[in-house]
Amino acid sequence: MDSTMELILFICILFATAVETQTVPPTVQGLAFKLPHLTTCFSRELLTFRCQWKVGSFQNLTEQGDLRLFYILDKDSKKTERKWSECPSYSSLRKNECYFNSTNTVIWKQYTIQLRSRSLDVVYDEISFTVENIVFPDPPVGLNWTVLSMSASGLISDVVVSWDPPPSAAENVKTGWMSLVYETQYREKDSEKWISLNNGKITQAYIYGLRSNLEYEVRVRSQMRGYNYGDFSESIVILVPYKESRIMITAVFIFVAIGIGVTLMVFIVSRQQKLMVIFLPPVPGPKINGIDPVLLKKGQLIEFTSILGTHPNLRPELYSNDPWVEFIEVDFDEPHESQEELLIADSSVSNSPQMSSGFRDDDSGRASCCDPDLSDHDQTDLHHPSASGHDGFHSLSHTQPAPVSPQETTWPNSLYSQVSDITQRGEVVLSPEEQEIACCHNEAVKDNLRNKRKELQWSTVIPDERGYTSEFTASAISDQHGNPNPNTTDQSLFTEQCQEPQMPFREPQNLSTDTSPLSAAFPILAKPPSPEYTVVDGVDWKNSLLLKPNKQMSPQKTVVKTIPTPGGYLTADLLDNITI
Amino acid sequence: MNRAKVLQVSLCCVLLWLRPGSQAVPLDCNDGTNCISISPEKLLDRVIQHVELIYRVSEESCTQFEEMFLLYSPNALRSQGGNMCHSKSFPIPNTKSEIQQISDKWLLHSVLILVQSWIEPLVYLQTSLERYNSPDILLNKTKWVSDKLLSLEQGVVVLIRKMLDEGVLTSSYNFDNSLNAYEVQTMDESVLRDYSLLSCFKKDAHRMETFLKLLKCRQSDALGCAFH
Repeated sequence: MDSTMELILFICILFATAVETQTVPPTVQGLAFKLPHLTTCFSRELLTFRCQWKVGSFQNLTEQGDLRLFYILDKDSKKTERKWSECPSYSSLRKNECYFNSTNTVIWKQYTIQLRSRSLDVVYDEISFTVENIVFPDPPVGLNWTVLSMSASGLISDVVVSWDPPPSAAENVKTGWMSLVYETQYREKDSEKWISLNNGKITQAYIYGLRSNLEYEVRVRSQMRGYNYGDFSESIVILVPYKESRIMITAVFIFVAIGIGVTLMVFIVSRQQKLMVIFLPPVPGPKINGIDPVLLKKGQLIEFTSILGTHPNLRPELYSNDPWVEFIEVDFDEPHESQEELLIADSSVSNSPQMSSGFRDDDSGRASCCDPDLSDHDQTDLHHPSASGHDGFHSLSHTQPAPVSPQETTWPNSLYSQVSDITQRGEVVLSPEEQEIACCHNEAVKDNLRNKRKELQWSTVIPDERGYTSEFTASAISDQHGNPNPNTTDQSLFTEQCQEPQMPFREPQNLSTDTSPLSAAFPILAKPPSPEYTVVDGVDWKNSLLLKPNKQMSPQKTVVKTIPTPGGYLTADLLDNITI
Repeated sequence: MNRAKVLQVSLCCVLLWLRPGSQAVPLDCNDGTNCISISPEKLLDRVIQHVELIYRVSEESCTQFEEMFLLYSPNALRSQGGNMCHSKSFPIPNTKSEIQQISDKWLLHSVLILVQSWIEPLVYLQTSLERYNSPDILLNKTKWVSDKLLSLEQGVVVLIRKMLDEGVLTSSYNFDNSLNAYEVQTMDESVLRDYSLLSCFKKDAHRMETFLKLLKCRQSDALGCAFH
């Protein structure tokens, strides 16, 4: 069985090869049998042209003259007279080529070329053309390149490629007979695709963006505009060297610049304050002799008050926080100038104390239980200025002796009397002590006082124009509200008409010493900071206070021993103990 | 044969020279009016630019026409296309040697004849293209070429007057009547005919450009251009 199979296989193979051999010869015959034909006709410069043909499979026709070329030119419209001419010159350099020189070359006319056998009876091939359609210019020559520019990093550069026109057509181009345009192609060494540039008649090409250290191929071909392209020239290789040093230098420069910048920034940030001082020095503030605002801010009142010339020993007493120690104060906030005018003009009191809003203490000299109403005596006193109106001052001055004298009679035992009111002109109206006994027990009197006071409010409101209204009107306004506010400053001037708070006031009654309520009223700013009380005799014609002479010393004594007193007031007993 | 030719040429020359004056051309500054006259060299440059542009556009139209209508048999058409170009009665030089031998006058006149011979056929071509729905690009180009051809004719007339001191008629007198014979035709035939017209026009535009460039070379450097 195996042998038969092998035999069948062998036969099959033989048969197949036989069949194949049979099929081969026809193709060979097909290849062998090829007619002579014209391969190409071309011109290089629009002046001459050539035609070439191939013999084909007819190997016996390779001799000269076996194949002849005839042409005819469609010059004239008369087609009947067309005559075929033979090739003017068969090329001697090459076989199977016919060359038409410039005299025989007619442009813009149609040629018809025929390839005939020797005997002219067989036409093997025929083509028609016009000469300008078969122009295939030679490639340009003399390609070279130069670097146009390079980027800062040295990685990318621009290149200029230049060439010369093909020598065969150079003359014609120069004379203007034919116009050549060029096409440039370039690619990277290993890539497949060419990049094309068309730049017309110029024999230069600009290639941008070539990378360094890479090889590029460039080739150029020429074309007669509107017609056929010629062959490409030989490729040239472009290689732009990579300059590393340039990169290094630029990188180093950049890093150094960044480092300097960073250090500068750090320096500026750290020394910001000092630099600010150097560049923008602070404006020096004004230097005022005397009060140092820094001391004020710091709260060092000891130095502050010492500047003002008060006795340093008594300062802590004044600033003690005893609740029942109240300051006698005079409120002269608004009408400073007018007040001074009044004082200077009318009373010419030169030594009027400097008035300022000192420590505001609304409860000075007064207990909380009693109403700080005016006494009857005060009412009568106040009536006088009200009656006279604007001329209250003069009337008051006239009537002064009147109220003064009864006061004198009633004051032999009163060593201390409280200032009940200060008029516009700065006169101090004092209240006698007798009122204190009567007023607290007598509600009616109180009411009377209140009513009168209210009346006075209306009347005394008028002389506001003088400027001094704050104290009295404030009290008046507060009284209008019906609540005798013990916190107003004016009421500090009114007498306490209760028994209890009179205690500190009573005590000085026994004193024959001088009391100067005026000085007490200005505990801080009175120039003669005498702790002694001086009894006010009255008000003289000049509207100044007449003080009883202190039997001990002048009221301007300032030296007083610091004796711990309740509330800071000198009691009579304590005063006796004071030896000056 | 030669005598007939010579007679023809002389007759044409006589016709050209005997024409009295010319129509008023706006580019003329002979009246002494306020117009800036242009030098012949610059005028020649402008004419050459015109011709170059016309040639380029015609070449583009030709290729577009081929792409659109003649995809199936371009080779056959190319072989036949050259035959259908209408020939001129006026002999126009075709070889470089001939061109080098003739004078400037002949060159200019040849150019003028070429230009004038194409004014009418291009109009005809335009109508024919519109007949079978040609794309707008092609129609625009042919329209543009016809317009430019008229201005080119004007420029060449002025050039002749300036360079040769002659007066020439602006209207075309070499009118070829052969085109009117092809009035009624099938689509394919009209396509073929239009294509042949376009290719012939392209050839003649190239011829005009070459003539004018040679003339320019002669003007600038007579010695270098005269000898081959």
